[in-house]
Amino acid sequence: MLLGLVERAEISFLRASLGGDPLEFRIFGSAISLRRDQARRFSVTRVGNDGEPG
Amino acid sequence: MASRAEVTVPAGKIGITRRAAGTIAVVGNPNCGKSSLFNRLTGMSQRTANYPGVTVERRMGRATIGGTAVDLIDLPGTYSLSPTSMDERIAVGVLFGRVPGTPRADAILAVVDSTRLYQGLFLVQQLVKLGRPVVIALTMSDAAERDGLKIDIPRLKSRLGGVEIFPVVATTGRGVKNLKASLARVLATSPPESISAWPELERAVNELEPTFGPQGAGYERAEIERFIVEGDDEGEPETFGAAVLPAEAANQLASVRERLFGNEPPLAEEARQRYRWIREVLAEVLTTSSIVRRRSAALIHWINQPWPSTVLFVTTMAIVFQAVFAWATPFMDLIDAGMGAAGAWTASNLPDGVLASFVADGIIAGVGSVIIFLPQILILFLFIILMEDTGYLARAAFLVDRAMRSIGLSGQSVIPLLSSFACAVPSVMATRVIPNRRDRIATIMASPFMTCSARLPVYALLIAAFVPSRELLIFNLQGAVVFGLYVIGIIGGVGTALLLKHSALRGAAPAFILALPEFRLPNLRTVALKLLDRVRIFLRRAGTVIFVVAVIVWALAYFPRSDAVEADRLAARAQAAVTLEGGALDTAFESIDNEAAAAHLAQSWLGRAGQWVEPAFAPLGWDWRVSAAVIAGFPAREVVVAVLGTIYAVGGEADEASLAERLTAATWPDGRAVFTLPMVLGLLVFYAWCLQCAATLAVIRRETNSWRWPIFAWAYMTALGYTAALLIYQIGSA
Repeated sequence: MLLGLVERAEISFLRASLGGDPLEFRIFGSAISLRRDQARRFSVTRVGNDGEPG
Repeated sequence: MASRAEVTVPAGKIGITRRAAGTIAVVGNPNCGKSSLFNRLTGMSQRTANYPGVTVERRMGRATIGGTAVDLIDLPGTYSLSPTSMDERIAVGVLFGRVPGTPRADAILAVVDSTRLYQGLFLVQQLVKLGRPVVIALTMSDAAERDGLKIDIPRLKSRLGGVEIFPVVATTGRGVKNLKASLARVLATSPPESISAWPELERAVNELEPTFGPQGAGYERAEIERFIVEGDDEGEPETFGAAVLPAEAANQLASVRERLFGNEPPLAEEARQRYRWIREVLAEVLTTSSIVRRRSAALIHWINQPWPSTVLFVTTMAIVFQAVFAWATPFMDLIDAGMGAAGAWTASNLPDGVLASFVADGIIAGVGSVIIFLPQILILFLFIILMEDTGYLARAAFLVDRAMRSIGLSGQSVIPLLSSFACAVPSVMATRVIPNRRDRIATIMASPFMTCSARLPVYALLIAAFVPSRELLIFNLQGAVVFGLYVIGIIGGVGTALLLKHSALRGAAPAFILALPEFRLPNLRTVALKLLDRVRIFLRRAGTVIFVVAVIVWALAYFPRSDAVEADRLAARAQAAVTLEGGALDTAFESIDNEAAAAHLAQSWLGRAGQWVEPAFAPLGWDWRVSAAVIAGFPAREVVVAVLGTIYAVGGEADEASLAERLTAATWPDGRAVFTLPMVLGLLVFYAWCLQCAATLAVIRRETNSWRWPIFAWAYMTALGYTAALLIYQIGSA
């Protein structure tokens, strides 16, 4: 939450680490890492490359 | 005036001549460039101490601006005023003026990374509510420019209630002068105007203020906000200023929380509200020009892909290891030689007796056993700090998290664990980067199992003497045994981590949300200051313990003196002098002295202790001599080689070959050899697993802030080593 993971935040997936876990995301210009099972708890909607957060 | 402004006077002297105009707390997110800025502002006038009762360091310094001096407190990095770790608890406690012995700050210097405004503004939003003057430093403004970020500073200023904002680059010093000048002014300014990021919370605070505020329980508005969001966490130990509320106030708080949050988790609601406001502000003040994708950005992107990043990791680690062993060895040899020379000088210049022995074998050897660690520790810390400050540490943790999790640890454990192959001391100190306490303790308990450099002399002696140098397929048998001992160490460490994570340290997998900072060049001054800090901690905390234990062991090995042994020695020397002369006489003298030293040791407290515990170690195949040497090796395992040298009457400085020869010849009273292969293998495994290192114990004590873990680690590892040696000897001899 503190790193900006809140409702309606726009997030983009960057890459997975060795063996597919953990995952790296970009949120408001900074990179953060989440483990796969944590990332699964968020629900996301695709907004395209330049869309508004949805 | 300008020239006077540049003069830096040590803080200790200022205290007498000039009082600080006030105290300013330096606050910011982790990795936002706060410490570099703090170093820029205070220069060398810093004092480091620990906060009472915890292992968090308190750094204070003084900045002199014209005729004014202000004290700065560098607080641990935090993302918000809701603390989740000990570091953050301290930061928040100091801000509220609740940490005993630390002054309540008169003003706040908020440090915000320009490239991570989104996260920084969350904290700033809470800081401007503290009711104290605030200045904001926007660090890494050069990186922001490069990334094509433009920040409308006047507009941001007005959205933040009129606080002054200064873009700076801490590494080059750009903008620091303006910021510094503002620090002298800020104490006299008024707190920022209220910003209305979350009006409902504001109203709730108004409602509670009569009961909780200065007229009531004595809390500030910002603290009342924290109570509303977090509840009163009385149960939490070490929470500074935890609310002890009368029942009525507690009920009032509960009803306000109920109304504000309903069934929502309050912290999630807070994040939602604050980030909503931040997005609104950022939409106004931040413009992102089309980013010119530079070649370096493309390179970094490529390097962060799994496979290039693995190669980079392996290469980095290889360089670190190479450096630790190759660069440190000449210095360690130099220290060893220097200490040997100093000891010899003392022995020849002081009259024979207790004083000479105390100075040479007690004090000089004690100091030597402390500083012999320094070269390796310095080099290891240098690399750890460089990895931290370039942002590589987080990348390494990200890379190996999955692998480390399978052995019960987390990604952040990897650097401490790898460091412990050189020395467990910096490794245990480096576990501070692990935020989760259970992961941190498990890592601390696993590190001393890794084969450190101090084990190598013991391995070398025993293997050279007792393991035949035979080709075994493509391996040399001796090399294979060394390799096997490394593997045994790793098995011990990993097994322990897994065991702990399934017993004493069991718990739900912690949230592993890791901020991955951008790569950046470290600031040399910051690196140097951090390095000095680490070394000072080592010398003060571990050094004193090692020294004291070394002197105690000396005393045990020296006292009581036997007049009979001394009389025999003098008689033997006199007799030799009659029959021999020249080189032959010197050799005879040396051998007589060595025999006497062995006889003295045999009847010293240490020798007696060896004989006394012999029954306990006999099932492992150890006679009293080996037992005494193992006891003497408790403070530092490498000492065992020197003690074996004395005890087998070849002298403490004997070369390996002559000692090995003596060991091979050693027998039990009934004529059986002491050093049989099963006994030697058992002894080797004992050394692989037991924790014979006072420095590591002292550092574990410091880092866990309790005696419980070092005592547990010592007892557990000794028991493990003993059992393994017992099994190997008994099965091997059967």
